[in-house]
Amino acid sequence: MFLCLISPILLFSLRSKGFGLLAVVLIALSWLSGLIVGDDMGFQSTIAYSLAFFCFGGYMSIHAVDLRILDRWWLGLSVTWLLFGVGLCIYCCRTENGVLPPDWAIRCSRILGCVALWTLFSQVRRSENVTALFLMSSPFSFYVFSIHYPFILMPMHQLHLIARSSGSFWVSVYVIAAPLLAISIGGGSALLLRRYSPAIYSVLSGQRGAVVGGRGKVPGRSNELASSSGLRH
Amino acid sequence: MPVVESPQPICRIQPRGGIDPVVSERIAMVRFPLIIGVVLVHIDWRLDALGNHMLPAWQNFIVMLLYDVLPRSAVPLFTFLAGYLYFQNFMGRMGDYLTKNSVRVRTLLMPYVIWNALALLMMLALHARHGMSDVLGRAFPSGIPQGLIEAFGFSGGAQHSNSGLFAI
Repeated sequence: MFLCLISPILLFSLRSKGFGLLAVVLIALSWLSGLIVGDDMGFQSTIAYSLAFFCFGGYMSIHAVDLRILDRWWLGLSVTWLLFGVGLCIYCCRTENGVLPPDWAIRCSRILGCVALWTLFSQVRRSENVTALFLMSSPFSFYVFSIHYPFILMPMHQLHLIARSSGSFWVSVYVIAAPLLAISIGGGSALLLRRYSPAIYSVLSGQRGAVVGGRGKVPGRSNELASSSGLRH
Repeated sequence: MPVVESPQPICRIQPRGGIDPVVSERIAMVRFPLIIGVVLVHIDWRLDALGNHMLPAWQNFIVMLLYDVLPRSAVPLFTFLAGYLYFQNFMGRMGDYLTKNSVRVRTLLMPYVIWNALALLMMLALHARHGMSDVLGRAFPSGIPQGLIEAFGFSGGAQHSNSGLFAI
């Protein structure tokens, strides 16, 4: 929201092709190097990388850069991302107690992952069934995102404590079950709420995939943001 | 490797003005998988922030890769797409600015405020019933009053994005 509020300043900075690119690169470098923004999980770092990625997206949008430009390298990018990730894990696991990789490496992996994931979906899209499944689940993303941490994972932390005291086998079970439970509970509660209390669901989901009068219509927003299946950007 | 991609969206999508329908469809497609990535990042599988764990080495390697390293790209990609969509047809006019931001107030800020309020109520109810339980201790490591300030980033002390309400 903060970035949206300062959008006129961002637009002014990004409108010029050369200066805009320079601004994006400088923000990205300040985040990548960690010189200005500090450690990776810090508040300043979060602001800096949000600004960097938001501005980069804005730059691509303002200058109408085709987002499919890197699709042909999807395989190379995906393999590089995976290998980079494997390298980071090897680095972390090389001692018994584990060490954290350098921040710059984690940040590079994030950038690489962004590009690789995006291009990878050019291939995922070739399967109609998978595409239909992802498009169907898309309107529930915001709701699942909002509910997953405070209402599912934090209470589930108690299960982690129990698993830890019961041995490594139960920790493994927890690790596998926790995301499945979180997605199932989040998605299931979204479906139930949308079915039985569409008004509340509409408020909690920011009108994403909301059903009005059983017709799958998003009130007052269909032209701008909603698709026939309730998809919104 | 050349990509053979259909120039038309597979499913019926009503794209926003200016966005390629295929790109629009891909944006809709990536959303849920990216949320799964966010959920994976938030799964609590370590014993402490230094990465100590209880899992056998090979499991630790796989879990670290799938829960910690690869899904970390989800939020940056979301942010990138947010910027891309925000600046579509944004000419800097006051009307554009007000329209775009009023939509976001209604569809982002309002739900976030409500979710945060619900989470707070639940935590305060738990606190009243059970005291400073581990769940509350995790949400507010420095106690509830200071934790509330930190959770919303007012003190600049919300050092870990998954440490409290800041995550919502």
